[in-house]
Amino acid sequence: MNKKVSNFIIIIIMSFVISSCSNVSSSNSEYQVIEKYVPNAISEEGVVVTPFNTTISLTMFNSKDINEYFPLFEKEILKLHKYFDRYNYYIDENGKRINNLKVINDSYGKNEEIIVDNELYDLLSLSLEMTRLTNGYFNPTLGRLIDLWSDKFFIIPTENSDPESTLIEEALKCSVNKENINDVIVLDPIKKSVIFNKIENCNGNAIISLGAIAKGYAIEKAKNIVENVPSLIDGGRSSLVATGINPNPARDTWNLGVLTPYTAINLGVLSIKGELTFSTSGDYEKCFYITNPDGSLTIRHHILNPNTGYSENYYRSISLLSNGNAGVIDALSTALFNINDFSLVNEIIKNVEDFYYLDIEVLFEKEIIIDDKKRINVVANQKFWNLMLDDSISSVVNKIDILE
Amino acid sequence: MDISLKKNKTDLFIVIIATLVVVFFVVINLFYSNSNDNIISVYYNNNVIHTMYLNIDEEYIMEKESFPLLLDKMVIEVKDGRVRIKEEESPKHYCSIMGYQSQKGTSIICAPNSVMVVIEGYEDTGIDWTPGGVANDN
Repeated sequence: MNKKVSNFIIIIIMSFVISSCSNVSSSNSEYQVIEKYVPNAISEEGVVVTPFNTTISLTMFNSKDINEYFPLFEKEILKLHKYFDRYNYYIDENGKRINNLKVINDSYGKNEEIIVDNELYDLLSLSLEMTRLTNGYFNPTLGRLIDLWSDKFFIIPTENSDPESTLIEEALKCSVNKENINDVIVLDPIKKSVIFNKIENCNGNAIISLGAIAKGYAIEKAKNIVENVPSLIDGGRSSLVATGINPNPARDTWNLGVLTPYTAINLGVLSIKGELTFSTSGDYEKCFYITNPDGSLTIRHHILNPNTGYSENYYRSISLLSNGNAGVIDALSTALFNINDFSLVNEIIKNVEDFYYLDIEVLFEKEIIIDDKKRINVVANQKFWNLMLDDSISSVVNKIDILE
Repeated sequence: MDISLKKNKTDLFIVIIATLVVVFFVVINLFYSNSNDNIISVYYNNNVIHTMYLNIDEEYIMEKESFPLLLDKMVIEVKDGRVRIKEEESPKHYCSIMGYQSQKGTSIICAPNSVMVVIEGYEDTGIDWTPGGVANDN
């Protein structure tokens, strides 16, 4: 055989062998994206209950890690869900009813001292602190108000009507402001107990709701379980904790989409290396719209202003990025949604950063109409904006203002 | 003359071996790269109870009698390379509202029914996480 032909055949064979082997190797390599969801809980009455009324998942990047950590993760999330659920009772492994948030709400105005587990005590304590730090824009005593609205909200906007204004006023009387909240929810750090005192002028029962903070707190606790193993801990696709360095062979950063109110359009992509906490709140997740007398539409959504009893329309979406404490970040995103004054926004963020030793970056999305087209004006910290990949910024962005 | 014939036989042998080696690695390559393609896993109470394929049209019916955690009958449909929850009973029908899905790694979650439909595999879109689920109340 001609030597040149022989060499050519050998080169062809080796090319196939090498390319095939490299593909086999990457297919078989440890890197896999494996997401597992926490299953439903069963209440004392045998009702199937979705943890935190949403989906909680753990994503890891090889089967060994997910098999090792997910059972512990699942157990922790289900335990915390049972403590923080205000709708259902649960039984512990000894057959005894757990003193959870529903039990505390049942004790309203009865001067009963309820001994609770450490995590529920911690979360109540965190909630009172966040009420103070956010000037009451985060408020854990809005249960009555939330129950008036919640059945009207839907995942896609449908037309509906507001609850009766008199009912909203009554519900607001059963929430308590930041000055008095420590007198209504009385915590004893030694006994780890709670007394839920009567609120003056409240007819009927007041209700504590931790929906705006509990999920974040839970995924923050779950972070301790996975330690520094690379993982994504997702709380209902609105809160995220990322741990470790992204093991993706293509990049070592975590790339997060920043959502717009418009289906399937990202405002841009955040790219961050290492551990992070992210939270986003929008008016398009659980909402309805009302038709105003002039024919215009107003969106009503699930983030209620504790001062007015209604949702606000200052922003379509808020995203917060931090170096830790997902519970705090969750509560803060809810509070900021109700504030239009950026000097107050800055003051509250600084309060929280100083108290919890956090670095918090924010991005607000405001909607404007230009030539009958919906566009987004962005107000963001310089650092948040710098972390966005340049080529990822959507054309729906009309203007960017940097928050000083 | 004899030498030339022998040389030709040797050449032929080398070419056949070369072809077989190439075919072998091409087959191996295809096997590994496609082993997880098109698979749809149907989970009930966190266990896989049925497997479907994106490239094979199918309707899978789950009856409450057999799956007591369901709120009512559920129908999962694969059609034209996409999957959806065609029928289900739940307070707000979030999982059927999601409609057809086809991207690898996508999950359709019917939490009130303890059912999850996962298109297995992973497609690196360059984004690890995008928000957009169902938020909690205040």
